[in-house]
Amino acid sequence: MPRRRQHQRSSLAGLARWLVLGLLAAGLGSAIVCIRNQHVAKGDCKKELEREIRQLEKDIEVLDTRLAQVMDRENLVLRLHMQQSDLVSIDSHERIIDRVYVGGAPERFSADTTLDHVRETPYTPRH
Amino acid sequence: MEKSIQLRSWFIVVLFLLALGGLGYRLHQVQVEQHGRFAELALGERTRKVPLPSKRGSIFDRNGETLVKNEPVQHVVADRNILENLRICARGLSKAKGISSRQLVKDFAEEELRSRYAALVSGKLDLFFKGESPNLLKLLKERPNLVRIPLLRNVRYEDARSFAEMLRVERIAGIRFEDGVQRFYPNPRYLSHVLGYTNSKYEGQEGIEKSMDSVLKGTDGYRVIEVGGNGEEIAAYRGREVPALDGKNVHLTVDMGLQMIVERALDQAVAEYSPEKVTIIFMDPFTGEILAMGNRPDYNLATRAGDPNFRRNLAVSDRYEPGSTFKLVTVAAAYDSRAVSERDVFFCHEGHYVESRSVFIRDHHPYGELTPPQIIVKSSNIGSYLLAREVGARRLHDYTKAFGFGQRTGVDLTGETSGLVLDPDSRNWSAPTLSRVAMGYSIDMSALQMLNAVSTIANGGQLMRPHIVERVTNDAGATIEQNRPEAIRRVISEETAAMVRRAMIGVTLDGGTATRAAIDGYTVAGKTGTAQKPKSPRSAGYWNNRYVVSFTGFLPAENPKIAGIVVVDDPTKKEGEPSYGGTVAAPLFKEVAERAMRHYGIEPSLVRRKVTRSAPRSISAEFLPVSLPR
Repeated sequence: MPRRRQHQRSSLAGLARWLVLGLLAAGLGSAIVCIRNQHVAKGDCKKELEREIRQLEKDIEVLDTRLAQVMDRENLVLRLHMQQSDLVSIDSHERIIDRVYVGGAPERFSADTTLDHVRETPYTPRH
Repeated sequence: MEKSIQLRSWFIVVLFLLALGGLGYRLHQVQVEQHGRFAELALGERTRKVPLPSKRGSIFDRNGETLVKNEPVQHVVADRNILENLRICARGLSKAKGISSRQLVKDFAEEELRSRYAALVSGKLDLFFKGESPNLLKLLKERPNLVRIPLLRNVRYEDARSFAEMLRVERIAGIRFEDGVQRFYPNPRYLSHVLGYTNSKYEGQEGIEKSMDSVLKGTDGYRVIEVGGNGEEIAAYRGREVPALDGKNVHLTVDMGLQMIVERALDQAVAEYSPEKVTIIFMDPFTGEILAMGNRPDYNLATRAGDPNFRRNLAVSDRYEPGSTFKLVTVAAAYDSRAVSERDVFFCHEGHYVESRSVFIRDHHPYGELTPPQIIVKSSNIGSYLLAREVGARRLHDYTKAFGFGQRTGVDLTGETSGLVLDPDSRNWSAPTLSRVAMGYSIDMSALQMLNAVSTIANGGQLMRPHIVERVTNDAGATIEQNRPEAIRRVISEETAAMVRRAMIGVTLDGGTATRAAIDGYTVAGKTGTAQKPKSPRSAGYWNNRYVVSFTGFLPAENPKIAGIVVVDDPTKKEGEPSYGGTVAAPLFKEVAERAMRHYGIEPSLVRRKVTRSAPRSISAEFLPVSLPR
């Protein structure tokens, strides 16, 4: 029995449906790949930033250590000594009195300026 | 024929079905039965658990000055795989020699090329680290199976960076830099006994590092990561993460300003008297806060070289017989228990007292009648015994214990001794023991225990728990724990404390045993101690000419701000000067206390009435106490 021609003909609507489905699947797949790629790229960015932050933290810590080293008291004493401004014993007879104004110094000394405005504190001069 | 084809077809179908069934069964085995195992294997292939190390906390003084902190360092390591890679060897040598890599590969045998490159790297190491680095060539030969060859540990971060940059410019590969951390001490010679140190795993071994180890050390965390084909992390697919918890910071009550003054005095004591040991402690008598603590011999925290015995904190772990400083306890006990009054007079037998064959006591000077305060001022041995007899052995023992002797103070430091206090009911207590205890023999204590007892007198009778940790903070600076002053018990009444304080002021005035501790403008209360040194801790008998001398006191006496103790073990005699507490320890105390007054800005409490530099200094002639309590 000869086959009828119409049986071999494919339906255009069906083909279009498959095409759309295929495109959708491909689009979805591409989107997933794209998103995953971006995800990985962002992850790499994050890793790089984390590395930079770690590096900065380390730099800060190193600088902090160097600062502490500079403030080493033995060095400080030595520097003071070299500047001839190290602490030396002062006998009490060498002590002079410096006047400190309570609540700020009066603008102008006048007859109204009384001793109530001043408090005397010992002052140790530098040798 | 057709049947045969049908049969063969069926055979093939069955064969396929069997094969499919077998595959299905295996699939079931892999996917269902052994799912866990295979899932784990697959995960293990691409995931790794990387540790997130925590940071150890820092230690600061009371003013926030750094005492111990972490310092990032680098470890220098050689990588044999890279050092022996011909392409890398040729590239490095090409830059150094100015010959092309191809020519080098052509001209030299492989081994020759490798050894020349290793020599080049070794030379760079020697040049940069000035011979500190071990010989790379030797290490490569001696350890042929070692791929990662450690060269230098704890290299300063900046040095490692400069070296790495130099290698990069000269196109030398094969040297790696691994991150590390080490404890850094800005003042490695000071406060070493208090701070202590850590081992290579950063576990505290001594001092605060040990006693506060649980606070200082953090908890390591971890992160599960996924790696790609190149072994690099794919940060997007990070798994579970437990963050690291950094250690907390410890703030001490120590004031580095005062500590420096103490360290100078310790060095001065060593230079002047070459003693076996020296200890100086200063504390706030009202709060029990330790402001400064130091010993000699000491050690350098950065190198930790020298005798391991030098690492002991003598201030808390060393026991000594205090001698006359203990008379303060005897007099306080006598007065507080109402066994005697301030005005009672005791005849001191002109310096020689014989009670029995075993109890015979001598004084340095022939004293006649003395009141309890005068017994302190003159430091009379006979007077002390007469007072102890009035108190009784049991009651004196109870007061001794109440002052904190014979038990640990509870200070937050390691290796504290409890000292030794004999019980009158024990077998070791004999007929002369009371006479010996009354003047500070047959009783052992740490310098901190003695100072804490003196602080009790200074603050009006309350025994405080001495402490050296002020607070614990986190990285953000928030306080997590705060150590508050803790009164253990009232030992003596305020009246008794005031009486002993007045007597102690007399010790530093003319006629007292420690005039060299007097400071112009301030009232200093104190007591000297000169105890003969025992020949051995286990045997009886004392050296005739070797002493443990001490001075303990506080100032300003009318409102004490600081209390301190100086203990000098076996000072060498200076020419023409005996080694007593008043001649050796008292001047050291003055040295520290005078500077401390200036350091804290404490104004003088004595006003000068008559300034006559040539006139002998006397309390009545020159000074007038502004507010001396009675």
